Amino acid sequence: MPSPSTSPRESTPLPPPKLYDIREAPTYTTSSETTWNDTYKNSSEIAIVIDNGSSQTRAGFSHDPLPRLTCPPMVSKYRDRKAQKTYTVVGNDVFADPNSRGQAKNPFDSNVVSNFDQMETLLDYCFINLGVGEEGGGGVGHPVVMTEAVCVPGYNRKMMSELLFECYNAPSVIFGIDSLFSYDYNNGKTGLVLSTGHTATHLIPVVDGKGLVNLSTRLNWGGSQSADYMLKLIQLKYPGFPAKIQSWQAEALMKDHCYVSSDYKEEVANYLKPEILLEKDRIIQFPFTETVKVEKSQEELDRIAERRKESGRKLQEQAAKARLEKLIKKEQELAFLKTLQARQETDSKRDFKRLLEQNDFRDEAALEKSVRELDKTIRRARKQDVGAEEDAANSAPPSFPLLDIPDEELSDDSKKMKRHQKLMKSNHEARLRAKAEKEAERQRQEDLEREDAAKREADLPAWLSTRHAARTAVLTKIKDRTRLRNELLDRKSLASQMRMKSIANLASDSPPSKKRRRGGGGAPGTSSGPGGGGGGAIDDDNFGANDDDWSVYRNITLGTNSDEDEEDNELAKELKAIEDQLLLHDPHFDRNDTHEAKSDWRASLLHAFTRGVREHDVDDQAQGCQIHLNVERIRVPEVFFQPGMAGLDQAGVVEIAGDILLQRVADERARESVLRDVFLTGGAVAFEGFDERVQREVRGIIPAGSELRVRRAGNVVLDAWRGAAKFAQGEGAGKGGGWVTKGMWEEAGREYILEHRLGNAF
Amino acid sequence: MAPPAATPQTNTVLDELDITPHPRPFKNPSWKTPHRRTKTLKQILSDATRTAAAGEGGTAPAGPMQTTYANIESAPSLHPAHSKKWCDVTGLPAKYTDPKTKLRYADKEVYAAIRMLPPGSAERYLELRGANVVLKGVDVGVEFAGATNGGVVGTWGGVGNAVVGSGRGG
Repeated sequence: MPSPSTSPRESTPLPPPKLYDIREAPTYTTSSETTWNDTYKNSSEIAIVIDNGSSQTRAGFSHDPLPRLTCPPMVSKYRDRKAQKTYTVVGNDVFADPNSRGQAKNPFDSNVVSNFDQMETLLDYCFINLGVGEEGGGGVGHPVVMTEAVCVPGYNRKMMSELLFECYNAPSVIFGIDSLFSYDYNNGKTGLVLSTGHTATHLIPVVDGKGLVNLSTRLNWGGSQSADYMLKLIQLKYPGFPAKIQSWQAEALMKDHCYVSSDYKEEVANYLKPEILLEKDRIIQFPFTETVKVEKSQEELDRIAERRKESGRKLQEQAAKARLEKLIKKEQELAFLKTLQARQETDSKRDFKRLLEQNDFRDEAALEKSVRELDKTIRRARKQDVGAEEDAANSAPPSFPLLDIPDEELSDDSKKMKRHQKLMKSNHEARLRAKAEKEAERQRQEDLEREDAAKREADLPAWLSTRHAARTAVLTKIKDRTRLRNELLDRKSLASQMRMKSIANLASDSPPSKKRRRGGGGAPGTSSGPGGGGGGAIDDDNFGANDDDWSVYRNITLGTNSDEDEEDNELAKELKAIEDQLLLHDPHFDRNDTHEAKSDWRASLLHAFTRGVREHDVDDQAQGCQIHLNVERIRVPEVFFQPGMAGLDQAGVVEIAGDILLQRVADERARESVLRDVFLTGGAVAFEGFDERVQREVRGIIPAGSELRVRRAGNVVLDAWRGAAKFAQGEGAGKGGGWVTKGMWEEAGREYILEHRLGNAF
Repeated sequence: MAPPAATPQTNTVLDELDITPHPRPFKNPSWKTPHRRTKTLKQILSDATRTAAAGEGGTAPAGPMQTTYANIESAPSLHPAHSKKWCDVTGLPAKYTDPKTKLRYADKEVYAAIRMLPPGSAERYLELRGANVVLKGVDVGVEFAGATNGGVVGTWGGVGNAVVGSGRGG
């Protein structure tokens, strides 16, 4: 994203980031039971109301303002071997102990009950908490109102009825749909109920207070799937995150930070733009323990640095000295060979030949060749540092007075001195020669530069194209290196296999076959090893003659390697040099085109996505334990509107609403009144902006001019229970509508229910 | 604190919360737990379809508008706007698809990142969008994933769902 406004980047420093802490483990508080009205004990008219949801179980009496018991439907049966007994723990209590937490199970599969053993335990727990039942096993003694899924399969109703009537001796039972109870509690008469549950979302049209269950539609997406989606997104976004992100944490993050975008397409496209991201990026700080590094005092650091420098200098000196000695030796050898060459003219042919043979040369050509080669190596060696250059250059040429005096005239001491002076002299001369060579090299570089400049002035476009080509070459090299490094991390990649092959070849004792050796140009097989530089070895295969041969050793070393770093640095330096030239001479190449600018974090989309608008410090442990929520904030709730995003092949809520309103509700007049009350309930509609979005999008699909009103339940999670309680009190208890007594049930069949306006059809 | 080895060790936290020994006067003393009471939703639904099919041949014909758990499921989206493509990594609008991993991506930087993904990650991204389905017949599989956005969850859920759904929709 090259943006023209690059200059104000640095001008205003960003405000310090606002950090959101991740919630601590969920703490459940059970409502205090002191203030409850105990009149229920005297009246068998008062019903027990159970909102039997897949994420929360709520139970209480119909005259209570709130459910007395609210807990997750978790059942844990855990056999403790040490205690030799089986524990049964239900609800929030399962989280109290790690063992019971590990065994905790939810009796629900999607939104229907699948495990009725666990369901029975859960109901036991409810009734224990409500304190119902008379001595002697008379049953619960109160009618029961219970919620069930929309169009629950007959099997489930049968099993639940069996439990309530036969196990708990309920005198009469009513089943209803939670979202319809909620709508009824919010005084709804005609409208469309959109209920987002824990595992599924339902849309049910209601006309004249009666839910038209036969026109309802379910979307298999709810709060639990959303939370799961959130968790997976975070895990993929931060693959190496140090902390384990629990599913309840993901759920909490979703509830705290997600909202429904009013115009998803528009908003998401611009979400990672810096100015928008600054505002919308949420940084979540996970707990971390700071490992305190032992801070060394400045003095200590200085001392260490000094020591290091000192030893480095010593080593350098030693190396330079060794190099110098070698150089002198070589120079002497060269001088000798040259005298040998000179003798060719003076000596007779036969004498010269014998001389050559004495010195291991076949003929003059061989001699000449070694002279040439030696000359070259000396030249090369001279360019290197041969130590103590400054001193030698600055001081006047030292005098070596003893050298001119013949040995015979000297005492033993002086002889020693002379030997020393001789050495010093050759040192001095070698240095001088090295200096001259260096000077020549510099000259050569300057010439090259001048030539380059001349070329540039003569034909700028051609020169630019060569420079650009060079830059691309370096860039490819850098890219190739990173790719290779990454491929080596994958055990199965071709690069890794090549590496294993190289290792196997190097490790094998038998020399690889000749054919193989001749085949590959730089085939890395050698039996003489890197040290075998001997000239006359029979099985020498010239390994090492080519510089690339040595890369076989680099190929087989893995991990961070100072050698590699050095090469990376060199490449970077080369690139920088080329880019500097281009910056200077190419009018179309500016600062934003440089590799540095392009790999700058400010320009990186992924940096914005994972690290927000600020620079990321790899060493900062706090930052390492942060996650940034940005696109996810709208991406997760969006699935309700576009289920395809999460791989769910179903229509979204608005499309379903349109289908129900325009296709299924046949009556024109009914449609008008349904549109006047679109009612949202259930946990997931708590997302900010859900109702505005529904309003906006439904408006787009209904006939122009129709009146549309969207509202939210007073309490999106609790009103279902309250509605059920209200239903039991008002209508049920007095008029008997919908109540199925035990006698009726035994008579009419196991799946039997009486249809009522807030329940399923039979 | 450790009790003698002979007496069983007790878990004080669980001892308090355990409801096993709690009296249950609300229970019918003659209630016997039925033998097998656990069925997954899938089993329940397939059993229901089987009995419904048997029932239709018998005396009680089910009405044409009979709604069941399986057939109230929402049908696939027909709205062309909902087949929009989003970047699998960032969630931004995606113009391109990587032919190797089949991941959708927003720009070349994301593409580079996709190519650097550790093995297995690409599959996890695809799974998130339900596009990692591998069907036996290769041709069918590709077409299926392309045409329907690769859904698994809904389509296998109910038998004969599509037929009933389209009938109701009209």
